[in-house]
Amino acid sequence: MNGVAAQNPPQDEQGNWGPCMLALANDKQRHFVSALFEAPRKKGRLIWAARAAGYGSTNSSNDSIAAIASRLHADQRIQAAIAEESHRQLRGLAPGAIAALERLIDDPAAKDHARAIATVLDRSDPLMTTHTVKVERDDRPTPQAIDKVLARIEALAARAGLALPAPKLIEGECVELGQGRAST
Amino acid sequence: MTPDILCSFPCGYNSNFLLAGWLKRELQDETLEPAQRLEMLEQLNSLTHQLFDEDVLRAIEPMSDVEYSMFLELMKVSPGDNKKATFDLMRREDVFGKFRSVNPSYDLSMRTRR
Repeated sequence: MNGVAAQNPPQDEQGNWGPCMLALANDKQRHFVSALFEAPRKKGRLIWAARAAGYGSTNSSNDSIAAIASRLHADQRIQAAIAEESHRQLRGLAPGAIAALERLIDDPAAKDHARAIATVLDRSDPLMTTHTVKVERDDRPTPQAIDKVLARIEALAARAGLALPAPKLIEGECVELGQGRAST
Repeated sequence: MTPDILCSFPCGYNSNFLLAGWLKRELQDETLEPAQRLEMLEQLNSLTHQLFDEDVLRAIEPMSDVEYSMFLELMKVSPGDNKKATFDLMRREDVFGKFRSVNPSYDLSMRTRR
């Protein structure tokens, strides 16, 4: 790999860059990102992609290229471009995946035959589930809140030397409703 | 009222006496909701300040019907939200004196500070 690759990125890719790839500083960086997906092995992928993009020279050591590649790889714009390119590549795999799925469905003896059928059915006619959420709101004051207000009224009235009229008595039978509430 | 009592309270406090008497009268209303009662009591207690302390407040009696009608007339002087004209009148000794004559508890409450 040398600088020639970076100066002449593949023509078919030039027109297909996404916004994150286009936002990169130059074609060298774009080629670095795209080379990451073409690296033959996982180990040394960054160095391979940096060399493929034209960074360094033929005499550059792997260590110096690794430093350049690591810096490039840590760049936020490069990271965004890698994410964008990953999505693009993933979508590109769909035709192959569908063909493989068709082969599985056509072969009743295949180990994952039933799973393949279920996968297709799930996507073509997905199961519908309905959730009913009932929200009940109770704004009635709690007995504790009522006691607190009455106590405050008593205290303020005493402080002002006021004899307040007695509270109205409500005749009725008390029925316990639970949760600390009572009704007449 | 003797001058020494008058001198013990600056005229700026006159409105506190009248408002305390008025709020105490309103608080006698049995139909008040607890929330209204609490709000009025908070207002009443917020009147206390330096000279106008708890003892003074406690000694003030609620307005009588006569005093209440006088108070309502005084409020009519400035019908909007801006009650400056009303409060200016309350500061006048000739006006406040008429209220003192119908509610002796104002004088008695002032004596608690002596």
